Amino acid sequence: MKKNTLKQFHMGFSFLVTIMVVLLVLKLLNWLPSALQKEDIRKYGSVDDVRTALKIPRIYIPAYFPEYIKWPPAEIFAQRKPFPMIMMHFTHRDSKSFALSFFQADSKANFEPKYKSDVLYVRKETPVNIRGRTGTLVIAVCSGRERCNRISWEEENYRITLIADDSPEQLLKMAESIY
Amino acid sequence: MLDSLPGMYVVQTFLHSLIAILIIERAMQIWNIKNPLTQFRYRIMTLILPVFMLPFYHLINFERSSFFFRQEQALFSMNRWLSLEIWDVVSLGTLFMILLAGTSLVFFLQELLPVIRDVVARKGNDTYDTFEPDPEIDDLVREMSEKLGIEPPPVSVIEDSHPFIFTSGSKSHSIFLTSGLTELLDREQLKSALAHELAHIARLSNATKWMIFMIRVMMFFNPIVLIVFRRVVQDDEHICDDITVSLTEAPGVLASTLKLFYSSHSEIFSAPFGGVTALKEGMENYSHNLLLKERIARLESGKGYEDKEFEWGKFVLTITVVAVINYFVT
Repeated sequence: MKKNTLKQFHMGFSFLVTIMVVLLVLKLLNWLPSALQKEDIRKYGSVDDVRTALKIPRIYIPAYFPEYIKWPPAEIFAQRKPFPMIMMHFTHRDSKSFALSFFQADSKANFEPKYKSDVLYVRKETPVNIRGRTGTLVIAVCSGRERCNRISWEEENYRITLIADDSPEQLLKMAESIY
Repeated sequence: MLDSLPGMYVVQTFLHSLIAILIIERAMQIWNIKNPLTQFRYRIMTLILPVFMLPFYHLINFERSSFFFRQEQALFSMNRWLSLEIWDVVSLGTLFMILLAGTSLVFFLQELLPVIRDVVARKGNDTYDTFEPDPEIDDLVREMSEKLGIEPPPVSVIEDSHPFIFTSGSKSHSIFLTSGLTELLDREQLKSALAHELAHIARLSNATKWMIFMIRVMMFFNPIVLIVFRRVVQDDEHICDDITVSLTEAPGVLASTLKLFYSSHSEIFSAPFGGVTALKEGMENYSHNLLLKERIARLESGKGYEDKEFEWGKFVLTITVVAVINYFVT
């Protein structure tokens, strides 16, 4: 009886060790690419940190934000390789839930900016004028029936995209304030 | 391409299969699982889980596919690796695609093409020249079917000098054996061969094989599924060997029967085909013989009759661990 209990304990312990090893290896393998490639995607504390670390000459930021959006961005991710890209995520002032995503990516890169989840369906897609540049406004609904309207256009070598659970007018206003 | 929804499915099902096979195979070692029936149940989960896990995960949390989940919450994200470049020449994503394409090619040549070829070849010619077997064979089949609690299937003998036996049908079954086989085997060996086919019928092996073949078709790009598919088929053969031995109580006879199949198979396929066909036939012959060799060794060692109660607790624990870990692998 005692021998059997000991055997079961030994089996349980071995299984636990296996799980721990799997978790550790996965964590290690997840970290390794960033150690191999210093300029791949990682989180930054501020826009200035991105400028210093990645030497991206120009980072576009909207001058206008609706009242409910909190500044500074809650999260900033950036990379230089395989192509230069910056993404910022802003939260609601009160609820701290996602409010706006901003993307600045190399216009030649095959990059599809994503909000919290995948686009469920597109209601309307129209061309818009942003300070003399032609952009696209997309009225869409994402998984979870959330509104995820987006506006995108090209500035020099970059494609700028703004995605928010907000009206097209507000999106356009933010887009026009970018310098 | 790999960032699209189908691309994500391909990448993640591959990773989920890899993690499932590692944990499940290790768990079987730890839980000391030697019974082929239990091994079959564990291994089949390696095939089934990855097919359904991704849609299920998406259903419980649609934000799982988002960048934030991958970056902040995931234990492992394949995208980090796929974007890496080797000496700024080729990305790991491209190499990964080559691996998947290679697996798809193997699947097409090895598993889909023979099925298509067989269907085309048999079109309009789906009958064999058969005749009624010896009444003794019918008696053997009836007696053993009763023991297994199944309807005795009809048995037909095909006029062919090659020694073959197989069961057709997924719902209503028939056993076919060749005249070459009846000449080659003595009564006891024939009993073992028939018992083995009856075991397949009792286990609904053909229906199960179709089911796992469908998973194989769905996951044609996945090299892990290719390995597990073969292991599951192998486990099924071991289970049927054990059922055969429980019916005939003669493991040695079944081993000697398999040895005859082993040598016969080598003779049939040792003819010179030339080129790719020769290589393919040679590989199939090698893998067939390897399986027979393993089954013979197992029967001769007397390991095959362990009948332990299935431990649901350990099974559920293992599957839950696989499902939870894979949730955080994107």
